[in-house]
Amino acid sequence: MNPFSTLTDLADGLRNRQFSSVELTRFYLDRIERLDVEYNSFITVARERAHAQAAAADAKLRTKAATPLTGLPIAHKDIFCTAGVRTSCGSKMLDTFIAPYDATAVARLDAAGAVTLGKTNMDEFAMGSSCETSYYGPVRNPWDPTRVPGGSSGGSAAALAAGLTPAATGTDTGGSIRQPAAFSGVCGLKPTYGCVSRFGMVAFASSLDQGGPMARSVADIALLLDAMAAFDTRDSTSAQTGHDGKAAAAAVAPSRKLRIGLPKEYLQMLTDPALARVFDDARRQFESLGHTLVEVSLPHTAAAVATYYVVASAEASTNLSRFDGVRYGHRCEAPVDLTDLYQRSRSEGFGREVKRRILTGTYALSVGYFDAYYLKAQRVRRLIRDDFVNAFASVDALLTPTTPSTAFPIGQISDPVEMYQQDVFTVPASLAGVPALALPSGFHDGLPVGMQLIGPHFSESRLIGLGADFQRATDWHSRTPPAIG
Amino acid sequence: MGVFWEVNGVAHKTVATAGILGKERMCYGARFTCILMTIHERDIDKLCILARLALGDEERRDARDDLTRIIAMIDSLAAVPTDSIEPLSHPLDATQRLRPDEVTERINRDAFQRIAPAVQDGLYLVPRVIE
Repeated sequence: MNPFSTLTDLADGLRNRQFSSVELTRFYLDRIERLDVEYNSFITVARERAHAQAAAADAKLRTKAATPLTGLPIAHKDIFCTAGVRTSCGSKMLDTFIAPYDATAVARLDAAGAVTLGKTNMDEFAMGSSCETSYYGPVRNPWDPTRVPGGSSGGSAAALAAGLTPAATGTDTGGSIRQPAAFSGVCGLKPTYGCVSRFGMVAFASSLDQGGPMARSVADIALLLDAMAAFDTRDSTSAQTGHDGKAAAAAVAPSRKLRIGLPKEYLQMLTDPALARVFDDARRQFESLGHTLVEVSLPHTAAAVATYYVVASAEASTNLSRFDGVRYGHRCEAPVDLTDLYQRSRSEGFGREVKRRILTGTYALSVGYFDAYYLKAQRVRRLIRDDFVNAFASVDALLTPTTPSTAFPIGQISDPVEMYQQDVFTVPASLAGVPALALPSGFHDGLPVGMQLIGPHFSESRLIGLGADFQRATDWHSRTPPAIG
Repeated sequence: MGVFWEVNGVAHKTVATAGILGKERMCYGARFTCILMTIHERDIDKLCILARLALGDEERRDARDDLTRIIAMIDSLAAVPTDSIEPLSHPLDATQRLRPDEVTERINRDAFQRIAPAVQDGLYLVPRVIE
């Protein structure tokens, strides 16, 4: 078995009886056991649950009830609640937390027959761009283990890159699916806000959080999205008329010839000449496929990082107030009174970056600053959203770089503001709530380089058609890291 | 909070006045421009009370330094003109969905309390609140 197979190929193997789901699942579980000591991409491996699901899938594969995902292994970011399997969110706060229910995204993939291998490592409470803030230690990039895999869904990205799983889930608040996909040479989709249910996803910034698929090809992303996306009454911001459910069909249909916008502000900020060359090659590839590329302007791009860090921190400080040491999560020893219980439980349970965001958010929401920061950021957010709406009046999609650099060495960035600048190309789409598909566009010095396709709200199938068109003509997404067993 | 103002071109330090970096304000016939804001450890102490966090000395110093840099970064928003722009709280401008007023949740106290740090007879235990 080839650990770097796509879901599409593995599904053929299952249907042709080349291997069973139990054999496939054992194959990946054994690889995790053997290789993940190097990458630290999993926090919890769910061996028993995986075997039970695989056996049930094999029974289903012998009937006509099988779906395209039946029997295929997947790893879930440890932010999605899984009944009976620990959900830590990368934090000491939830080190012993076993959710009493499944997240909707997990339940839908389970119902489609996917087999959960385990839960992947991540920045604590999804707050980070490097997977260095996890309570369970940093994740290492399979392309160069001295480097970060990106974050916060870095465990999912690294597990894919190392061939430890053929599919994964991630969540994206300001780039947390797309940036690790770029750093690790895999594909990831941040769907439209409201497309995938947030129910059972540990909340970080509720007006931005969105779950999505990560995989080795755009066609695989499509299979996962069609299973994950649906209206959910248990998520108050779930979209009632959202995804068209036709992503898998769009991935195999010949792509329409589209008008693709190149935002000039992004290209001005892509200062690394080597990455600019990779981007230019990708742009020319789209042209040679018959698409038309034109320059567009998103004038408020430079304000996006500041806007994002006000909105996200403010919402995080509110969301994380639920961790009080009373109902679940870490509780301090021998509290003397209720205030002591709250303060010490929270101070012991949260790591440094989480505390930093809570304090920033508390500051932005406190008396005298609310208008100047939170309301101001919400006003700028409208301008940023309108930039995209205006651009999509004249183009079908946007093509941009995903990150300003390739994966950086572990421990290199210690200044939080410098780390926040990593998100410069990903936060605008998050603030606008529009979908963005990240896919590999080339390499520089042996490290993957990524690009993203951004479209209007609920244009996931269009982006997938475009991405699949690119991947039929190129093989960047099929490259695998050297020296992996 | 230490806020440094430039008053008619001369720098002054004021105490306990909120300012937004770069923003001009007319006061007593003079033009005030906020030129620098620093966060003190007592500001961190206040935020810690609001956020129910208790930080050690080193953590407080780090938090002060980090927050000073973060706030300088987010203060750049003041330069974006937003007069007559409505705040955006939902990217699709959706409003709260309503549903029929029917009981849909099942009460599952035992399952939820199994993950609680301290319970007794179906109640969550906390330190004594009323003496």
